This record gives sequence, C-alpha cells and structure tokens, in this order.
Amino acid sequence: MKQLLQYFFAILLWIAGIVLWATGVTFWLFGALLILHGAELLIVGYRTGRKFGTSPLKSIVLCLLFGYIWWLPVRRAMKADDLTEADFVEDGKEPWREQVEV
Amino acid sequence: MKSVVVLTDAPRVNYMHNFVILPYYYGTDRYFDRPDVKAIRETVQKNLDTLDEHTGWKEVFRGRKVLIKPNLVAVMHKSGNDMDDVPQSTDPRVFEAVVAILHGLGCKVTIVEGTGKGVSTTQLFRDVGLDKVAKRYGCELVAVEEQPVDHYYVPKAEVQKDVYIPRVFSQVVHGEALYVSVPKMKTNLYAGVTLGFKNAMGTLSGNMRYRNHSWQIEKKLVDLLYLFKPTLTLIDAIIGGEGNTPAPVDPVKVGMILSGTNSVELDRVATRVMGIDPNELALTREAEKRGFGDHETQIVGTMRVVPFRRAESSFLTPRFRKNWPNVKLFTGYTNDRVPKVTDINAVTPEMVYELEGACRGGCMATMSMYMEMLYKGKKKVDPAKVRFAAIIGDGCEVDGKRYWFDPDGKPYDIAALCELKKTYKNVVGCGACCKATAEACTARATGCGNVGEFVPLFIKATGAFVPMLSPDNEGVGNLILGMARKYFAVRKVLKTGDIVEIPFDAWDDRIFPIPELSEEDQKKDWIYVPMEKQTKKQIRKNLKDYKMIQAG
Repeated sequence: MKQLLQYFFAILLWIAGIVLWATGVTFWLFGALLILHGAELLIVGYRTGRKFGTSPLKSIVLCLLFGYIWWLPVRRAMKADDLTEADFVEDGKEPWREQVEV
Repeated sequence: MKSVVVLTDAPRVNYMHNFVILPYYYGTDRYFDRPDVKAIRETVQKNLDTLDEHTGWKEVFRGRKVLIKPNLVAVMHKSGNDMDDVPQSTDPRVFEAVVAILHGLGCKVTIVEGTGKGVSTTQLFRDVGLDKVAKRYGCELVAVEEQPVDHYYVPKAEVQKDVYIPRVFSQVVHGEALYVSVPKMKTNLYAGVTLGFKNAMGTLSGNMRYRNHSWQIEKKLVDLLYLFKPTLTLIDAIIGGEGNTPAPVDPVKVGMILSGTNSVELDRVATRVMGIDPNELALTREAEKRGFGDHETQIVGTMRVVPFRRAESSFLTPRFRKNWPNVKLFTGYTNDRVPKVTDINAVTPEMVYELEGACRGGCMATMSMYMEMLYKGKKKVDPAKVRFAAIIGDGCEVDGKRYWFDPDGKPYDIAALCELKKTYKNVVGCGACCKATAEACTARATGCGNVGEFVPLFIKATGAFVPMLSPDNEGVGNLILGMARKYFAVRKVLKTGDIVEIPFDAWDDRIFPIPELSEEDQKKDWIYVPMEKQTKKQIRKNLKDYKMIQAG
C-alpha cells in the first residue's frame, strides 16, 4: 500500500512538472525528474530490472517513471532471495508454533 | 488403478525459504542447484516412482492431457500478517517438481485453479511464479473464474444435485483429460482439514463455490466426486499449516510428500499423519458412507505422526475466549444436528458448545476466520477494545418459546436479547437462520456464511480492518490490479454469450432441485445439461450486472 501511494505521488509530480513546463513557469521540475530517473536507469535501474526478470521495456518505463521507489524494493526482494548454503542447514528448531493449553 | 498411498520423507534440509513464492531466479541453474530445491525434486520423484511401481500410473498418464490443480490462497509474501510467509498455498517448489514429471511423460499440462471471490487467480499465478513454471514447461494457465460454465445434474448427490462447473473441467468429466490435485497439508475451519478432495472447492467458480457452503459443506464436496475425482493426488507436506485456514496459519515442519491414486484414502492417511483421527471428520465419514473409499488400499512408507493444532470454528474455546475476552456469543438451534434442550435452566457450557456446532462449516467458520485474521495481523489489535455480542441460530424451542444461550448456559429469550443493546454497542446477528433475532441486533448478515456480508459487519463490530485489506499488505497493489484483469477477462467471456456465474442464490440454506428424472437417469453419476447461448439482450444485461467489486 505504501508503495502504491509512493507511485501515486510520483505520477502527481510528473503531472506537476509537465503542467509547469507547458505553462511556461519552469522546465526544471520536469527536467530534474528526467535527469534523476535517467541517471538511476543507467546506473542501477535497468540492471536491477533485467536481473529480476523484468522485460527491458518494462524496466526502462518503470525506472524512468518511478525511479528508486521502483528499483529499491526490487533490490530488497532480490537480496531476500539471495541465499547461501548455510541458509539451508536444518537447525531442528520448529518455526513459531502457538502453544495452546489442552 | 489400484489404490495405493505412498509416504516419502524428505531429506533434512531447511525448507523455510520460498515456500510461498518462487525466487526471482527460478528456471536458472542457480535455482535447480539449491539444496532445498534438489531435495524436494528428488523426494517428489522418488515418491511418484514408488507409486508407479505399485500402480503403473505413468502409463495411464503418458501423452495425455492433464489438468493439475494447486491450492492457492491469497495470502502472499508480506500480506500484513505477523509472519512474512504463511503456509497456506501449495509449495511452488513441490508443484513445479510434479509439473516437470508430467511434462517428462509427454503430458499436455494445464495448470488450473480458482480462488475465492474478489481475488484474481491469474494474478496469484504471477505472484507465486507459476507463470514462469508454465512458460518453462509449455503449460496453459487457467483461472476458473474466467471460464464459461457447463451445467450438470448429479442424480446421486445429496446436496449438489444441480451443479455448474468451469468448462475446462468438463474435459475431466468426459474422460478427455486427467486431473491431478496437489494440495497443501493444513487444517481448515470449514471442513477440519484441507487435503486431496477438499481441494476440489477451488474447481468451482464464484457463486457456485459458495452455494451450500454451510453445515452441508462435507456432503457438497463428496457430491463432486460423482462428477470427477483426481486420478492422482500428491500432498505437499514439506511445510504444513496448522490453525484456522483460510485465516493465516502457523508453519509445521513435516518434511514429507504423500501421494495416492484414491484421494479419499490418501486423505485418510494424511489426516492420521496430522495426528487427527480421520473418523472424527465428517468429510471422511461422508466419503466412506458413499463408497468412495477403498479398504484394500496398500500403504507404502512409514507413517510418522506430526500433531497439528486443530482448526477451531468456535467462539467458545479457551483459546478464543482468552484472545477475545469481550466477544460474547449467544447461540441456540432447533434441528436434528444438535441436542434438544428440554430444560432451559439445565444447559451446561458443554451443551452450548454442542449447540454452537450446528453450523461449524458455515457462519461459525466465517466468523472465526475473521477474528483469526485480526489476531494474526502484523499490527496487533487491542483485545480489550474489541467488544461485541454475536447471535447465531434460530433459537432452541422450549415450551413454544425460543431461547439462545450465553457461553455459561444462561438462557435469553428474544426480550432478553433485545436488552443486550444496552450493554453492547454492537450486537451482530449472523446468518439466515437467526432472522427471528433481527430486532435484537444492531446489524445482521442475512445469508449463510456470506463472507462479503460478514466482512463489513465485522469491521464495524470490531473497529478493525483485516490485514489483507490494510496498508500492511504489500501485495494490495497486485490485488487491485488482479481485480481489474479479472473484470476484463470475464467481460470477454460474457460477450461470447456464455455465462461464468450462476444466479446469485448462494446464501440460501436449501438444496437446489433438479427436474424429475427417469429411473435410468437416476442411476447415472452425472447428466450433462446443454445450455443455450445467451441472447443479445441477456448479454447486455450480464455485462451490466457484472461488477469489478462484487458484494455478496
């Protein structure tokens, strides 16, 4: 839900940037978003998307549109799945099981 | 095929990673080299090879069309529960291993599943990663709620005589395809356990799924066996789930794979593994009574018992009363499923518990599910603040008057129930049968166990949202996206003149009749009833009536 709200605000920001540019107030909100997200795309976004299995086009669109609010959760999800041999050693401990009085 | 049940122990590996969704690198060497994946694939292979040695199932399946059904529940990764992953759905690693074996036999595999109302199965396939599995093995993915339905009469059925099933399952009914059920080993509020043939609930779509989803649920599920039954069932008991499914459950490390050619007998063995006497379950008794069991079943492997905590479809158990001390239930029934009350002053708490049990598979299960969802939420609700009264049942008739009883056995007539409003801000009437208590209630659910009706009612009564609908559910975006996808997919089917739903009658506690049949027809397991295509006017109406968010 939090991420959905973030996406929503990112879109609002883009709309504001376009409106400000179109009405001649300033180009720089739109420009800053484009430069920032473009840089993120080149440095980390595209690579992250492709590694995660997202299509090239989808990776480009999502990163340009949302920037780090898209690629950061993807990286976090990938990190959670990056396991080592030690993670698969059975420790014999039960997972959390509720104790109920019989 | 001969009825055989095979139990295979999995190697001692930690299986607690990715038992809900596949990792992002599924399909690569990195995935297949993982110790847990290797162990699961080897165990499934060993299990099914042993089953083949005793039954020859592989020859039956070779080159055939196969429908394979997992058990997917819309509780995905980080769904707002106290644990990030909850063992509700079939482990995708196990499911993938079965698909790989069927693919190796040259089967044309279709992955088919249907989840509850309001949730898109197509989206769940994606969330779990089964879309990647389908792509790898060239399988078709079918969401039953997006399928047109076919109509059948089931003359031998006790409850579900008139049934509509998704068209894809007609292939199984007519012998054109085989059906493989791959459920999860877990306890369940509605039927006690969810195993091989309880998994068939997900083969019904929308309103049909909820028709007679009440105290008759066991009969309803057994009725389906006349129509079609799994040729092969494999139970994922790598990580089991104990507690109150469909609400979140706790994981149990069982480390076992069970398979069989008779789902009733396999369920019987699996129930024993869970530490539950199968004869205690109405589901097993009903299947046995109708002759779907097989006493000649051969059991291969060691039966290791791993006791599961049972599902508690009750507001009267010590656990419930400890968790929700300010929720009070008033119950009373007059029917042949509960003891008859003759003296209102001699009702004990044990008798009240029995009275409450008149509809454990209906309203009680739905109510218990909601409360358990709250209890298992990431953000804990203060139990002291959850304060309401719930009324179920039509009342116990004693000397021409109706009475409901509190947990201690104290009797309340309708006038006394009306007084509850002075003590409780919310007095909730639950289900069609408590119609007579309408004046005592501040709000009432009029249908039988109607989840859509109960949720808003309980949100109001408890003042708390279920985690799945809260901001804590990280998958809420996908949930909404899935609803939109489903909406357009169903509209596409409706435009062709087919129907995907039965009329909304699901919450009536009655048996839906079929026309009088000839003696010869009465002996048949099923009768196909051809349906005419909808007229243009009907199509327009169907499209208009179909809403993205369906209440009820």
